[in-house]
Amino acid sequence: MKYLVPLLTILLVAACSSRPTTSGIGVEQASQQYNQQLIVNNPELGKKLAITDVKTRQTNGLTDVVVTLASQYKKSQYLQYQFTWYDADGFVIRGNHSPWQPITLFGFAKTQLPGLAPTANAVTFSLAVREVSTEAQEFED
Amino acid sequence: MKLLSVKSAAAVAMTSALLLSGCANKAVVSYGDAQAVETTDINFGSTDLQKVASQMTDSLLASPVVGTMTANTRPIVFVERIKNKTSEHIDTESITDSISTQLLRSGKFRFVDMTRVEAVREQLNFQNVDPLVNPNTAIAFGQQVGAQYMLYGNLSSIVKSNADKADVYYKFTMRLMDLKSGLVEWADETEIRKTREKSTFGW
Repeated sequence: MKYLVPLLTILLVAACSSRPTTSGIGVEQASQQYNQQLIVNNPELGKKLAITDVKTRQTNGLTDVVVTLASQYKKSQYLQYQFTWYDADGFVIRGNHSPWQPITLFGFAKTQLPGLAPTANAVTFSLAVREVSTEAQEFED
Repeated sequence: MKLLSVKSAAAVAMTSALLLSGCANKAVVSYGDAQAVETTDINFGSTDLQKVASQMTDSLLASPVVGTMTANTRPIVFVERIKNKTSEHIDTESITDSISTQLLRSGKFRFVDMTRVEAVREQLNFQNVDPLVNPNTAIAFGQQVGAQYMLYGNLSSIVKSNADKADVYYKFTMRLMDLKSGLVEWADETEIRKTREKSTFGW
């Protein structure tokens, strides 16, 4: 009985915050200078994940990119990633050609996230990686 | 002691009231991200459709054979269909729509649409036969271009489940056939595995 009130209060607070964690880590390629900029908006995820390499080349006249993602965590991580493409003037390429893709990254594993430009005029990109939102996240702050 | 229990009972009642009023029975409408990963259940969902379409398009556009094929011309393709061999009802036309849209958008291919042939025939009939239309403006029959390639594929699944766990495996195969020679010029497949387990949280 003594613990019921605090318990109910915790439930009240926890149950209402049903907003998923949508921040993550990413890389942004500003202009064509190939100066990759790593962005970590979610330090907690940033500790578990690292972007170790970014490679680009031309395939059939389209910009082809692979970003190496390395896990620094012993358990599997359920992640999603999305490439966004920009033309030479920095305009986003319109259309829903690059959805969030699910990926399971096993403990301390390394994987390459491949991205292919949807059109020939897409020259730069940004990549965002975040966790797949789960019910468990609703109970985190 | 009795007073305390009355007090705490009141507190419990108040908290419960808060709990109920704060969260329950409140319909909240919000717009979601149509492209975010969706994990409602293990059936074929929007994420699977988008993943399959995007991977097939990327694979096709990046393949060396397609590179030489599209170097100087834009090949004309028609989409046959994706055979749904899974146990679910899946709108496979939606997958081919996404793939052909993305291929068209890349500017490397041109498409003829076999699903609208009847509508085109009806319109051309109207233009050429109906006296309402000025014959000089009517589009003559026999001027459409034939497709050089056929895009087709299969979607199959293996479903397994027991009391605690359900597992589904999808395999999507796609091929591009040269209609003149009958040779399959490109093929690729992508796999999806989805698992549902009981959550560690009790509710």
